[in-house]
Amino acid sequence: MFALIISTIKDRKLSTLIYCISVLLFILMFVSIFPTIQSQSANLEEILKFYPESMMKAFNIDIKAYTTIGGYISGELFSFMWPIMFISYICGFAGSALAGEIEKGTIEVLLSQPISRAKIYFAKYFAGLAMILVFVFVSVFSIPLILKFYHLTIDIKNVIAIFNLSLLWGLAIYSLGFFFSSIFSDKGKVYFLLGGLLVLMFALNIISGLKENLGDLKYLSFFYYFNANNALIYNKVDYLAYWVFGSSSIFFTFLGLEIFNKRNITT
Amino acid sequence: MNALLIDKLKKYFGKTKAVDGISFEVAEGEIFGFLGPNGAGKTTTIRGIMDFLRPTSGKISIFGMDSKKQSVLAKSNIGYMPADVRLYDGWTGKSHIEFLEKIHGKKSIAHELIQKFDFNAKIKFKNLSTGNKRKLGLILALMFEPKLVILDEPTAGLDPILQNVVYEVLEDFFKKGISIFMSSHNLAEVERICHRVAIIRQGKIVAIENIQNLKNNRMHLATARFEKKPAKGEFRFDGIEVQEELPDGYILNIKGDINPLLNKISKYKIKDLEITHASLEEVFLEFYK
Repeated sequence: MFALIISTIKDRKLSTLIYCISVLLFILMFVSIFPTIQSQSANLEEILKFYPESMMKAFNIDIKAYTTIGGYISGELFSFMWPIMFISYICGFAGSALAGEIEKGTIEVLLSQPISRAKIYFAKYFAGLAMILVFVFVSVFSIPLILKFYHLTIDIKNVIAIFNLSLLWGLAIYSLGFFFSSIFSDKGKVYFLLGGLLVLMFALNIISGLKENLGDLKYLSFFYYFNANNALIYNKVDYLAYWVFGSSSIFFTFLGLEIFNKRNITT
Repeated sequence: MNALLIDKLKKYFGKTKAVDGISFEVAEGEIFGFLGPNGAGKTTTIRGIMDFLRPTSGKISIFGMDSKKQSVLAKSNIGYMPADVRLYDGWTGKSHIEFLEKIHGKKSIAHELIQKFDFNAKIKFKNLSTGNKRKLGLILALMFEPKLVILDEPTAGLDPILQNVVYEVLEDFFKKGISIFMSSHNLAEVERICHRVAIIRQGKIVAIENIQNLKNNRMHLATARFEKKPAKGEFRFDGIEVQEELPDGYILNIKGDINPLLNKISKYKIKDLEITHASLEEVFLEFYK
């Protein structure tokens, strides 16, 4: 099993490196323009006062976003760019882990060895998990290091809060993607379904903020629980987030295992 | 103990009966051929043995171990090569070998096989020719000297020289007591190395024969020319089939005893009579119909 984990990680090391470097460059870019943004914060606050409250709520816009470094990083990086990168990374990994192997026919190499389907499943799963951990670690803990170059600081407790939240959020999405990967025999379907579902969740989160009578829809969205503002500005993570992400991860992981163990695999 | 036991195996995909109640066994130390036309159920059967597909019903045992319940233990005794060898494009042959050695937790005889097959293990899989891909597939199947080797069309796409090398390697393995189960379309290959053969057609076994018996019980082909050609209906009886009608006679296909035909044609004035043995290919094709 360990051999399979290592070989899977090795196969994805280049893409992980590219994603990590990309996110570092984004952080560098955003941090480098923060002093300019901060100097205009009074003007920005005036502008935001005219934003409808429902819009602010729907898009999770906080006045403090442009006045504190934590809020700024949350608004610029963790509200859009970073989630897109992260989801793209997860989709790629989850899709290729099982469905991709079946599509390429290489799953037969693994299945013909004296190793159980459960071990193959978890080896692939843990390999992906390790890569996700690397990406989140690099993304989050590079922030205080880069800020130091610009003589800026951020409370490390807030950084740890966003690290925990991001990791759990990623784990929930990854487990869902892995579940789809255990059902399908081509990775395109995994990308399509996972991507589609996440777009739907994003839309539900926005709509719930804009329409009061649809307010409860937000609970169906992973994006509702991923409140980067609260983590980076106020060092707060809703315990409901831990519960939703944790239980989703466990549920989809083991459901995927059950399906992979029982299904016919034809290449 | 049988190396492989298939007992009333069925595999249905919805209404399609890919394998419909087949049974046979492969004895230890035997080379067993598995023949059938395309779509007959050969690959489905092999995938069932390898536990890629779960049977609808029936049982598969490998050295007495259930192929599904004791899959891991059973597979420690199997070396498998699929018809279409698909491996990791970015890995070299050496990478594949080392990977499998780590999974098995032991060293292999891959180095010897690499020399026997004259294979370059440093080239990435995606850059290998079809023949070299199959060489690698064979090396991976044989490198741990498994007790049972399962090969799906082992020499497809290989040149005659390499085919001979494969046969020699398989015969060496056979001498070590290893059992071999192979599907093939190459009748000369089956005739050369197999001891017994099962023929599958439309998901059912139509024959299980010893190769020597098949050779002994060959069909005959008779070309008879008459002074006065008798009616075609005169040759409609058991074991006789009019293969072709000639202006002055018939070409007849005879299965089994040729004496009834000889008795029949001796009633007519014969211009010419030629009787030959049907080739093994023609024998098999009878089962494929």
